Amino acid sequence: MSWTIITIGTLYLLVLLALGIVARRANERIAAGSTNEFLLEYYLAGRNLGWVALLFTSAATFYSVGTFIGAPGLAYSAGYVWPLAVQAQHLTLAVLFLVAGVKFAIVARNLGFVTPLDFLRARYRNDWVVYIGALGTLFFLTIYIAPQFVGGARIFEAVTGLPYRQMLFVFLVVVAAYTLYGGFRAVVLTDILQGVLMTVGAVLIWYFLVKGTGGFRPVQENLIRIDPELVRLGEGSFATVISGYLVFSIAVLGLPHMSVRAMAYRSSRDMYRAVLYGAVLATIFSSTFMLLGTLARGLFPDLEAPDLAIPMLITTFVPPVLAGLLLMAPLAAIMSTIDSMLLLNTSVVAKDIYLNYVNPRATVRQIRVLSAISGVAITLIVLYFALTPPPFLENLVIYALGGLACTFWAPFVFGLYWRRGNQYGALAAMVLGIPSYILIDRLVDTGSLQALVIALPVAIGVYVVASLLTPAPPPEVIRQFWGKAEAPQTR
Amino acid sequence: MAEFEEDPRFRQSLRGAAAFAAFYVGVAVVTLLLGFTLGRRPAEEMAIIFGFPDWVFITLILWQAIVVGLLAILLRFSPHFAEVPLTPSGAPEDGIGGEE
Repeated sequence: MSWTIITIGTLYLLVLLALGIVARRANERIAAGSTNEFLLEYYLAGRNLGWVALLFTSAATFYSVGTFIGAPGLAYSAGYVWPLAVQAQHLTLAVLFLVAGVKFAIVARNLGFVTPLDFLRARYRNDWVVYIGALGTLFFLTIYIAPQFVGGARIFEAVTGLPYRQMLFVFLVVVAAYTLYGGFRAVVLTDILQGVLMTVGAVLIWYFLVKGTGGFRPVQENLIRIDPELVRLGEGSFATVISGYLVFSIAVLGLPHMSVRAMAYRSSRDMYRAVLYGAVLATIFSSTFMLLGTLARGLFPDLEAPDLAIPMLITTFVPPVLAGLLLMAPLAAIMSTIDSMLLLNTSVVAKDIYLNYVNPRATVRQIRVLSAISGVAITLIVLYFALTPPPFLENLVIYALGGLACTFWAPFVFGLYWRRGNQYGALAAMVLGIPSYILIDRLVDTGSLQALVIALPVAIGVYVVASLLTPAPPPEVIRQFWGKAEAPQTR
Repeated sequence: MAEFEEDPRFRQSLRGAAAFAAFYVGVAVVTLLLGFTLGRRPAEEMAIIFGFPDWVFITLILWQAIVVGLLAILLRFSPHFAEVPLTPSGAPEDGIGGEE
């Protein structure tokens, strides 16, 4: 049992809790007035993210257990095809902000959106679109959160020797506490800290690995001895790589926990800066951890679980005190993803359903209480699933990403840019997209091709056909989403 | 449909989206060409560059650094990514994490 790592980990978790308290105080100071002020502050930090905050909260949210544990685990098993497949992540923030970010930010301000479902509600004016969107968000984000917790607990278990279940519980309590207490501002503040840690960690690991191995040539030779296919692109590689582009990059346009960030930044200048530095960060994160996954196979060919590739490299090559700090990097990636998803899930329950449909006159206190209750409930559901972890975390991550993309991609993207897109198109895409994704994933043998590669075009096609066969959206919607705003309604 | 004045910011955002989509497709095509041209060879034929198989170094490290540079050029010089006010008044706001 490593007390150094336990001590560093405990201190780190305490710092996160402290940031949650700082954020809560800021919330109360800034949004002491109306429910709308509270919603804007609690769920979007007042739409005031500068480029550093936007960069780190977006990067830290998107790069998760998949980037730091799951995909390196697959790179460990399958070789360099996985770093190539995940390489599309380098432009993910650019895809989100340069394709959808500007228009999303403008209409969110014009019409006062606080959540992604606000966009769907105003654009399509159909309650069922919101209900299905809410269900899709809760279902797939909860699936997405579970492997994150599993990954975090596994890392701690592997390096400290403490039992998996205890680690899982500690993890859940800390993340739920600072997220639900401090809202989006707490998420952003902790994301900045976690993003810096992830970046420093990614750079330092290379240093110690090169120092410890004396160079990678022998590692490559060992990889070829184990299996020459690990270092080349063999059968099925193309399907894996194409799936990677879709799942890890293009799908980001359909991820509500990412699109909410497109409503929260302060200015286009901040956003463009975040996009550029985001590409640099992504190159560091993705390249580092994917390549390390394959290198780990050459160094430790017989790991018990492929997901332990990165923790094993850190504990083997990095001095204990620094190893404790570096192990916080994947933990940071995990926590910074969970907090965003948890907060979005609570916003679906408290804002999108309760405030919009059940009690439109709800007070700040009622929304706070409901957010806390729904957050705890979601955390307990996640705990239940996380108690029996799957062998490959990345498979759950990919499944959830695909499900979210099938639900939201067409309604978001076409809703922003295609005037003819209407409520029937959005409904058809969601109603047929989600089950077709689940059925293809369960029943069809697609080989190395992810189900999303087939299901997303189905959802898009259904959206287009249904929209063309039914009446165009009302002129008021077109005016709101393409015309000049008459007067600013909100910040 | 009733007449209305189109917001020029939405036109700019559409053009920016189209310009980036073209950039993205170009990068993806080059990446796939590099990767699958060089990476399909037998392992014994591959050279080692900085400790990695040549195709890994060229496609995943060198080319990616170039892509970041190209993105910087696109954002700096393309008129589609000029600054755009997010509120009708265009007023700057105080924020967290990064000065204006």
